[in-house]
Amino acid sequence: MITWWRMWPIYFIGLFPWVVALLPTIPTKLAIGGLYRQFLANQFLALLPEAKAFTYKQFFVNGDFLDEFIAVIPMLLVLTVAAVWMAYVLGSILITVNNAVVKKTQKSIIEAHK
Amino acid sequence: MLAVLLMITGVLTAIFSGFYIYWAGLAVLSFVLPVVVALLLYAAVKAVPKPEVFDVKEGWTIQEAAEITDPENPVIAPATLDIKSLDLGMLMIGGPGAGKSMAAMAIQEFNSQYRPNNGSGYFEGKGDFDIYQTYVAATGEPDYFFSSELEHSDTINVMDAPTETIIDMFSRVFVDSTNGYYEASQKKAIRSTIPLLKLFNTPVVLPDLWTLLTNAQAARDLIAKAKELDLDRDIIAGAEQYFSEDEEDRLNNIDGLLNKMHPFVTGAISKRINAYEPTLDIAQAVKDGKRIYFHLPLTDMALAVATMITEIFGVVAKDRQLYQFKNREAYPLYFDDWGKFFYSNFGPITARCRSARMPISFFFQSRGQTDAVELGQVFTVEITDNIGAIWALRINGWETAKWLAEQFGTYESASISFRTADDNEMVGTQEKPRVRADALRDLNAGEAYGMIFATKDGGKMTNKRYKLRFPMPGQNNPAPEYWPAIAAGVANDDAEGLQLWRDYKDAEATAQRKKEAVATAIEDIEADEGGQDEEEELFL
Repeated sequence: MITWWRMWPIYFIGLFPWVVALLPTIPTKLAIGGLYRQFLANQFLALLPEAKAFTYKQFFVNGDFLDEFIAVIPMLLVLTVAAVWMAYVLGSILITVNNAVVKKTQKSIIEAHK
Repeated sequence: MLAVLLMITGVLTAIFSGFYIYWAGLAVLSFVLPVVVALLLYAAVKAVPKPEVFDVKEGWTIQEAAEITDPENPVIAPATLDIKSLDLGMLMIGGPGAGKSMAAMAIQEFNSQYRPNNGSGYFEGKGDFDIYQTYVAATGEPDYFFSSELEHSDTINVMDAPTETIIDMFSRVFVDSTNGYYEASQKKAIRSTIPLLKLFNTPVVLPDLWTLLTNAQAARDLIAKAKELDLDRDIIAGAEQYFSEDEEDRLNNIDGLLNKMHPFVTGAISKRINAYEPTLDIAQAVKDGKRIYFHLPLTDMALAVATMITEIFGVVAKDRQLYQFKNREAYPLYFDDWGKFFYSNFGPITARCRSARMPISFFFQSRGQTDAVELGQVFTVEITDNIGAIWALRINGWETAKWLAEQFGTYESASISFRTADDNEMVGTQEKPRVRADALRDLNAGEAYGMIFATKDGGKMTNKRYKLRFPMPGQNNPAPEYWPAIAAGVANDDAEGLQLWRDYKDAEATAQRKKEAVATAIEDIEADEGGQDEEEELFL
């Protein structure tokens, strides 16, 4: 039988967006972190009112690595929420299917013993 | 898990909204987001699965209690025994000194305080004065006190019941069932005479039945009187047919019946159970919510009286079922130390009483006492099925202890184990008895294992198991120093009734009745002849 006590590490998936966002930007070699943060910043920018978007853009463009990371925290939160819900759905399906199989097996063993 | 996720989502959304408000100032989303957060947190609280709690609101609260529905995790807290289940009656079994009588007093004390105007019936099978003292101290003086032993007692009329009930009751109590031939003759005698006695719509008592069966003159006169009043011809014909049998043979056949009836007609108890105008009308007492104390220390006579009284309660219950539809107040009946008093019709009466909100609670010592009532333990099964709660106090005998322990069923004990070979975990379950028979033999006085239903709105019900200690009855009233002094009621000779016993009780009285009958017959003949002469004269 599988329970959530065994499945809980699946929720570490929620940390994945943060790990990627922490990757440094090394031009021509490893630009993933920077591109990813830029993508997230653009998404957040779309949510902001036009009058305020400029301030955010200036903060991101002129900031260092830490400023970039702070600027994308709101979108990282959104991604985390999405990730944990995905993990929940996946985990629930796994538990339900596995336990149904185990129950059926146990039932046949008990029936066989009878 | 869903609740945790909703909670996490709510918290993360709250942080997001903080960031958003920082960057966007007072934009539309700044107002929407806190609402979303609040909704998510509310949903999280709602999603937490709540165990089905059966918090009993009304009932008898026992302070020293532990709920052992899951014996591995007992809940040690005062228990409230649901009044709805108490109104289904209880079975309390315990050896001598286990605390049955004190528990019976304690529940009556609760009842007298919880529903002071409802009344109750207490049947006491031991007869000790200290039990009466405890009863009065806990609940106050009873409204009525009936004793099979004490001279000063309220009086009842065991024949104050429908004809069929009396026939059934007397067939059970007075008929000797060891010989089929005599049994049939005796039942025939009862079946032929009681309907005739009840025909006159006036109170009748057991001595009237005795007189009718033993005195041919009384039988002749009563049949003549019935004919004169033009009463039910079928009943009269049945009685006539019975009394047309040879007198000597008839009396020989019912000799056993008369022998069994004799102590109740002429014995010390006769006045107490054969009153034309009884001081205790059981049906009326139940209707008025009076408390009745039946003092019936075990003897053969008390057993017969108890059977008759129980049958009367069966009649009262039937009347409540059939004719009292509204405001049927609970009228609990407690049968203390009643093991030897069980008889075969107790089961149906229990069911009927429970249905009529007259819950019966039994207090007895051994399963052997219920098994003895009928072959095949049918009565034991019936009585346990008819009840709302079972309590096992200290039991000495192994058989009864084993049987009672089985009543509490089993529970599943789960254990988890790990297999190192494939790093797999195994969950195993084992069925264990909830109460061990041995545990029932080690209880202190008043301690009991028990199970009782707990109800919820919408018809939901669960059976709760407890280990608890019943409280000692309180000292709410001064304890009496002697049995109650009951004022004598109207003497039978001065009361309205059929009066066969008074009018035919000895040879002299019978001779007098015979003379009167002959005189009446002569008068009738003369009147007829006079009438005929007049007719002849007219004709001439």
